Amino acid sequence: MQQFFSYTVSGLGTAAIYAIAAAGLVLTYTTTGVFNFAHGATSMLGAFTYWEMRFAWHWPAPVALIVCLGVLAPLFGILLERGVMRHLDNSSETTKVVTTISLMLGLLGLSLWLWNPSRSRPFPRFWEGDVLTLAGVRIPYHVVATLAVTLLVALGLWLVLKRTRFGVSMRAVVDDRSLVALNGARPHVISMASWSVGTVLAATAGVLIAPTLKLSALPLTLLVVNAYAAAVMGKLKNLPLTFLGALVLGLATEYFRGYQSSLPFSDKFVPGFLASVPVIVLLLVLVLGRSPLRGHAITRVRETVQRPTWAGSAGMAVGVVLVAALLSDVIPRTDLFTLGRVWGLGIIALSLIPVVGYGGQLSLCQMSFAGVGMVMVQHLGSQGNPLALVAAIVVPALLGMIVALPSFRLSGIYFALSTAAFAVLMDRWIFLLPRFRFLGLDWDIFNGGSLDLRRTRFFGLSMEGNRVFFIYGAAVFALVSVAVVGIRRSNYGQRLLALKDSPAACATLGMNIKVAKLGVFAVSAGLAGLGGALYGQGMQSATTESVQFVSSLTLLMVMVVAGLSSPGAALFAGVFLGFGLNNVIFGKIADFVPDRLGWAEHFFDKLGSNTLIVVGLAGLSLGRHPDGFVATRLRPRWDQILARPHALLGIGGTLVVAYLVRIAGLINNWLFAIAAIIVLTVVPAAIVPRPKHSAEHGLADDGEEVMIRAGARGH
Amino acid sequence: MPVLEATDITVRFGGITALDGASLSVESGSVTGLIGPNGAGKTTMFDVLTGLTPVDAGTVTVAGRNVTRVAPHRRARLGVARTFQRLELFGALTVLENVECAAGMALGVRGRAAAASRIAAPLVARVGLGPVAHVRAGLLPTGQARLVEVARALATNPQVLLLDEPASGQSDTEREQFSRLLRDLADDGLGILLVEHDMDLVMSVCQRIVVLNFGRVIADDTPAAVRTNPAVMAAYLGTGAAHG
Amino acid sequence: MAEAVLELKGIRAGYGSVEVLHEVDLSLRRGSVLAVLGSNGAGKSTLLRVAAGLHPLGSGSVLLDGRRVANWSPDRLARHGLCLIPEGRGVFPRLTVRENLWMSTHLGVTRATAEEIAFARFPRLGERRDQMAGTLSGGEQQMLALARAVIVRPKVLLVDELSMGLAPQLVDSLYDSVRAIAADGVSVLVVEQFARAVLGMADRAAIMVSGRVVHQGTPAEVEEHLSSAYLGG
Repeated sequence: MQQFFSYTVSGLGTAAIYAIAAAGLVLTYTTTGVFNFAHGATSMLGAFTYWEMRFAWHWPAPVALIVCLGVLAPLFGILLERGVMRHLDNSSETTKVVTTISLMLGLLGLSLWLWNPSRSRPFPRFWEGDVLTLAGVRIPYHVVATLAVTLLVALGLWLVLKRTRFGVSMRAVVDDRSLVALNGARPHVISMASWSVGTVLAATAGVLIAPTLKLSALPLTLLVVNAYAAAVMGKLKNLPLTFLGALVLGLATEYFRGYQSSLPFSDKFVPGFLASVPVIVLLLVLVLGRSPLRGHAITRVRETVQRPTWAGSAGMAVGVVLVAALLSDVIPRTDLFTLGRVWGLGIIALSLIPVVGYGGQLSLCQMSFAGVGMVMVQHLGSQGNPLALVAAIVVPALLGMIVALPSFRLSGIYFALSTAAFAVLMDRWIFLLPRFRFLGLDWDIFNGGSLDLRRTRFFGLSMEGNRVFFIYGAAVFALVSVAVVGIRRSNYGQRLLALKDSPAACATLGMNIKVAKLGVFAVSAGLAGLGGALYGQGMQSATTESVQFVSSLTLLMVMVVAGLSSPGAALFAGVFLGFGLNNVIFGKIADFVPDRLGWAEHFFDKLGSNTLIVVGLAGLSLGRHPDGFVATRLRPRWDQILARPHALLGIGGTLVVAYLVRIAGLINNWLFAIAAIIVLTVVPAAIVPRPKHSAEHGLADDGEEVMIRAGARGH
Repeated sequence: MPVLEATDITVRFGGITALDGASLSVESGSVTGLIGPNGAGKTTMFDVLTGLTPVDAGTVTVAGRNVTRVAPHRRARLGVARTFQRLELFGALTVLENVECAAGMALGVRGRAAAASRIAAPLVARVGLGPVAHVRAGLLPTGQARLVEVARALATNPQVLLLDEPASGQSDTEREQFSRLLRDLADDGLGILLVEHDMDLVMSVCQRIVVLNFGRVIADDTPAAVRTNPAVMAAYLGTGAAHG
Repeated sequence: MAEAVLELKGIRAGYGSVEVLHEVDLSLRRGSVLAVLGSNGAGKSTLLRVAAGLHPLGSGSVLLDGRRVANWSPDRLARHGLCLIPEGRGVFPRLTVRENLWMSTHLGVTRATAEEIAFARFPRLGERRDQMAGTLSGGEQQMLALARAVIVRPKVLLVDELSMGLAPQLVDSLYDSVRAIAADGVSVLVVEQFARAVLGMADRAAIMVSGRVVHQGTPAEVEEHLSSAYLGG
């Protein structure tokens, strides 16, 4: 009994923190319609800021608390509203999700920048060691404090929401935004208020939970996934239900933890399971909830890109393989090894195209499918058996269909959340399972945390060497990109695009929506599995970190920024993430910065080593280019170049000359690469006038262009 | 036997009764109008007929077969097609692709691309969209966009066509052509149910008109009779106040 | 002739590429009641939404008290004395009756005054003061929506289809309240499909068909054209 009480006490403490975090999430979602994936990152930033003031600068705790939670947090909330969220007012739900994911990655990057992650930062609990004994039950002071803060928050929220004009207006916004304006209230001021309250709640949760989680950026950021579960129990809008959800979650977690030794199965499976309790609850609530949860709108990713042609995609495929073959000759073998992962990542990026780009289903777990593909290669491909690749496609495909099942009942943000929950479940539990026996077989899924992946042999032809693997990877990437274009051009691809635009019309025209959704998830998960297999084989050994949730988000963001429906964007994503393009570019810039500008050199060095912040910042600019940079900026220019043989010839010729000069050893790889990049990007931009508008007004623009060209010829 | 028949349909949303024992039927080869003041339940009736909204009571039959519990895509394959008041186009696809896609969906998984395009091209021409067949549907003005929906619905080879405000957003000449198209389609044996605000169009093409008010059918008669029906006038103008 | 307090000149507006208002001209004289009639789809609601700043104006101009207010935000217009009771139920369903009334405090009324005025005019609301607005009957919800106009006494009151989904007797009693507000000196523009409910109280009337004003004049003049405007012919 004594034990039960003490588990209850710690459960209440955990529940209290979940409640605070979830309340902030619900508040901003209901009043502004933006589901903030960056809520956890805000908590994390709050915790780090507090730590800096309290333990690095040795400010007294009350001062640090007031400055952090009372001044900086609300200011940050206002900044978010003014700088980012206000511009999302009329955008699609997908753009909103993607923007907050960028924000999350950006904040994560920012914290890695400011606080070196390899340093340990002790964060003692408040009143460490002090214990209150109440009727024989020992209650640590920090739990008392946490509970008190939560009660204060609950009471404060209740008072604000029920008694103040601001609060009543915030609730009114949930019901009818324009009616609030008709009453003479300024909607943006109300949004600002709710963002600052939401941010303060996030930061408070961060400061309270940091001591239990250690001050470490990623776990703190993912705290929000636990809060999602509580928030979803409140259907993302009901605060009392959210608090109740947090209570259930907190207690369940602590009881599991407390009684794990008396559970019927071996305790070594439990740690992962414990960490997964909130996500499992989240999945259950989403899938079994009483009524289907529909998001605000269908997830729409606008596509203004033309239907890809066979000739174009075949050209690109051949080009990729040729360039890879040529490059493999000039790049040192050690670099070739590093570059081997480009193709695997590129294929995983390609796998996003059917599901997100065509089908409009936001999948946040593509890397988990890739991880399953790696696992297949580990277990079935130890002798380089090509059948392992088949398994790396089939097994993730089956898993993909299971992940797609919730989409029958869920849409928009709710479905995206279920894929996130799946990814986190894989990260925290399945991939971390130790060796166990089941059905008479030995299972060791992730090989104890690190896979050892043999490259494939095809009928005696080994892909073992770095050079041959590089070319082979390019060939597989090229084939998959042609396949993806094939999907787009097929009947099935048309139906996917149709489904994205209007599920209601599809149903009334005779399409079986469920089959279509299962199909697209199977295809894309299968491709992700294949990509994962190649990615792993490229690295030859893979850790769970390479396939975790955050990697899925990063890859998705790079794809969104580059353009979700073009294979060229996938190539870019593969090169950017696989080759560390970020590091290369900013690292080189840093090298060129004169020595006396030490800060600038430092700045670019940091930027180079911080892919997250670059991806995050790029994603935040999405409001301006919802179709992606490659698709709306680079592609149109290349189309114009392709229409001018002399320009094409010039560019091609310059590249050939540069390549020959490189072969002759007159320049090194860096100069060659820089020259190639200049020729391929800067020159087209310089010689081709900017297209006047994006393809958005395609019809009118085309007409105008034709007229302008005709006119030019006439003169 | 009517090609489409709804009997005593009741639909409640929370505490609101959107349809309250409403019945109507559509005959092959004729145009039936469905009119009524705002919020009378016309679009809800369409959703019921196509299976997007489940009923609380009542039955829907297609050519005598009870389809009340049949999923939307199966009803489509039994010959029920519709358009939407709020456009539900496949904006990323061209006009022709929209129609091909619909033909393919109706043919099911066995649908062959060639068969679908054989159906699509003549239909696009028939509704008068030939010149814009290769324009992305999302770029079309509303009047033409509505025609895409009509062509798309026709591509499923329906027995009955439900049109939800097909003429709104169309110019006068487009309306003229459209009413001719409706008559042609009816002459070909199609049953048509038409919801439309343009009363001149409704009165001129419909053989029968069903009037809904507060979810109930208050008249089911010829256009001439509906126009002089005092209950219909009262539903539109309200009763009481000045003249009772 | 009395001066116009609200003037709509050459209003064009639409949704996407389709124009639903084609050069609409209407003017509301100070202290008068103008009824705009027409069947659904005629563009009446869009017109009111344009006037209240909820819908973007394509071209034309809106003058409130002689001041050009086109493209002002709805909250700014509200603070300058324009009050729209929107179509449907203009209440916050998950706020209590009192909380709904408190929303008027954004226009400078105190909570106590707001409640006092509203409950005096609509005693039924007083009885249900702590009930969620969403649980009120349709008629009571419209009373609550109208209460806002009673409390803030705007320069111009725009009322959109008060009758929607309500029984005729209820509609009449709601329009009695509108009549009372007008008698207090508020200029009222009411948009209504159920013509008979409002013709009796209007000083002037207009009929809209397909986004155009086709008839304008005294209620009696306008009434003759109603049948053809609604049912064609």
